[in-house]
Amino acid sequence: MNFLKIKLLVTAIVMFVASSAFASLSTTYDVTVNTSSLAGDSAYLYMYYAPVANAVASTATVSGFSTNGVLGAQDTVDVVNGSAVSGTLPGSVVFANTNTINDYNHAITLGTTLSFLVTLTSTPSSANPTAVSTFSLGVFGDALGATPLLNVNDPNIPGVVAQINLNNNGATSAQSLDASTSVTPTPIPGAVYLLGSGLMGLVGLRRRKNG
Amino acid sequence: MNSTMKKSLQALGLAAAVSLLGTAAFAANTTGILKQPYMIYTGQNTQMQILWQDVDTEAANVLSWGTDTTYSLGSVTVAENSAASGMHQHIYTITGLQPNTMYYYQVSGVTPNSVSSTGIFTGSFMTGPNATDTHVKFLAIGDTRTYPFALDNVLQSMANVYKTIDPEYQRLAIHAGDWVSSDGESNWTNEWFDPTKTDIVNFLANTPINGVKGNHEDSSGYSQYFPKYYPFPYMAANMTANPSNPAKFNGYYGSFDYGPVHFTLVDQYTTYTAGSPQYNWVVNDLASTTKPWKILMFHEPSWNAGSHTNNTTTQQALDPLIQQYNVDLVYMGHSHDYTRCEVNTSAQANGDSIVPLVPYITSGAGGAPLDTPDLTNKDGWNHVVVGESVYQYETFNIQGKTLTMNVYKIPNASTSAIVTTTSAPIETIVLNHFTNVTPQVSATMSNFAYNRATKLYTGTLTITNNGPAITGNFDVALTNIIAGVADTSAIAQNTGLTTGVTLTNATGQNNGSPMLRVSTSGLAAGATTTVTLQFTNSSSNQINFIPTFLQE
Repeated sequence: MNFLKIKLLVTAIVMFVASSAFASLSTTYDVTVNTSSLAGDSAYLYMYYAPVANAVASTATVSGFSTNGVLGAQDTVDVVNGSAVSGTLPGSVVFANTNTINDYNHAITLGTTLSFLVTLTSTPSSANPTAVSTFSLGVFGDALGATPLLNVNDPNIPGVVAQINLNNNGATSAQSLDASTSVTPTPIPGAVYLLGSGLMGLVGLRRRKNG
Repeated sequence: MNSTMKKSLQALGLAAAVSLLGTAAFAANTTGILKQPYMIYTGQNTQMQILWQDVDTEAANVLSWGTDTTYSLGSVTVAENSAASGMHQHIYTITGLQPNTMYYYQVSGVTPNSVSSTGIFTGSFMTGPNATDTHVKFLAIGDTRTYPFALDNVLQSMANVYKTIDPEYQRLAIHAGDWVSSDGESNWTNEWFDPTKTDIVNFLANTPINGVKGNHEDSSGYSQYFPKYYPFPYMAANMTANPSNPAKFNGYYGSFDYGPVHFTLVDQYTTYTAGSPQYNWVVNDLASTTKPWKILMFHEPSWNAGSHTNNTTTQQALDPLIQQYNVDLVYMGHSHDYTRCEVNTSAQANGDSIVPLVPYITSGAGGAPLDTPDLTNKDGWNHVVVGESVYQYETFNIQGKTLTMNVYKIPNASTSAIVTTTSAPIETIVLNHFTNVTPQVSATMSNFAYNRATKLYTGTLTITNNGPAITGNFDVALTNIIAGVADTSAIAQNTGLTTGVTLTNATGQNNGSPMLRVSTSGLAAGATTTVTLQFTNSSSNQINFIPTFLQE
């Protein structure tokens, strides 16, 4: 039984190391915006993914979009560069960080809330540790982004309510720029699942032994 | 041939004819001045050497000088230079002057001729800075040969710098070689000393010019007329006469100090490879100078964009010394354009000997027929950052720990007429003697965002000091490789940001890279601070950079 225990532990550790060092790493954030102050207003959800300082290739995937408002049409005209963006809300939208700006614009009649998940995925690298790719969400009253509806007094990026960062080493961080918005990490990244499942196996073995 | 072409050719022919007639008329003089007064900085800040040449023997040429145009400080009758027998050359070194002082001089008593109906010539100069001075300004030029009209236009623009921008630039001009098209008497008379070109005559009369030998000053090793007309005193100890022709010399290398700057001038037509007397001299010269700024000068570029190939002998001999002795800037000529070659890191050098963070300047468009630089970074011309085919010159401004080189072009300079010139900037290079504290600092970007209304990009740079306390002004410079090109490619290395990208809140520049002041009070050990970076980006290129952290 000890042999099995060690074997399972080694397997769990190997899976964890492999997933950390050699495979892509994903981290997911839950973004929720309280739009009750704007309910009924026509707006545009403007999302973009932007790399800087020699960022490694990565993607930001928006999924699980939910709102009690009414989505309108996707706006493909008033974006800077949508060539590396695929998918349409309310389905998943995938942003690669290929261009300086990789953006997506979608009309909406706001309800009282909207929410979605953002999953950032990359292969971590020790090169260019300064670099980052940032996913941003903005809420504007017009397609071109001239009329911010939230975070209106921001000196640099009015309208933007949430930012989620992915550094080259795989570290992530996020910030909410407006009281209406919460950005929270979902609790368990994929790699930890693997380690956790291994450890759970160990616990199971011990229980069987004790029983 | 259309009418416009005909008119252009007629004008060109007329200009050439006038020039030849004019020169021929002056050359026909049997008495009086031949080469009007000009100057050499001797290397001493209490001296100035004045030189001129007459057509025939003149025994009553008088040099007078003073701090104004009464020339009341001194007066001396200058006999012919006995070392150049029969050449009717007059040389006098004024001594006992005050540093950093403006003086005026007059040469009189010269027999009038068609060049001068009075036989009186005037000029002015500013003596060199104090040895302890930390600031100085001067001008720079190279490859002035062949087209006196173009040279006149370039010197007109250079004179405008001290006439209209800052009189201190009158102090000194340095020259990267190929002063004339051939080291012959007539070439010196008709090109460098062309009496029909007033801007040339006036510049030479008012600014001492010191420089290196080019291949057109006789690449065979021994030159006769260059050392005759520019007998730099600090080179005399290294000069060797040709055994078969004692009037010719090689070993035309030496050095001089100018305030905080040490100039080392190499003669590439005298052996300078490792172990040679000149190489040993260069090693000792660079090792022994205590000046904070070191400028190395030679003619044929070790790194350039053509048309001439890179001089690999120079690369092998001098690049290791540039690295070892922390030469700040290399100033060269030979290819008739402006080029800056440079890399940021040894990885970018990719095995080449080019020294990181040292600008290799080719300034070869001072009057010679223009070349077109190759900007493709292949065919042997690698590491090219900037190149332009246009008549040009530089200004240098050293203020303490900062050297600023401005490069100006003269798009309307003509090879066939004197025009009212206009200058425009090519680029500005700022070198700082700040302490690089990057190894003890970690930094990450976050919150990189774009404002569609203002078209500005912003991001937050978070900086943590992992080492001892950083004191005083603390800066970050953003250096970069060209987008999409690997670090180790032997290609153009852009020391600034990606083309089209501007750091809009930059507070300065470091070696071609935009620089931002992080703090005026340093950063304590273990402390973290943030600074906002703001960019515009007129290109579709990604904004890529590598931060370098500097303590002033």
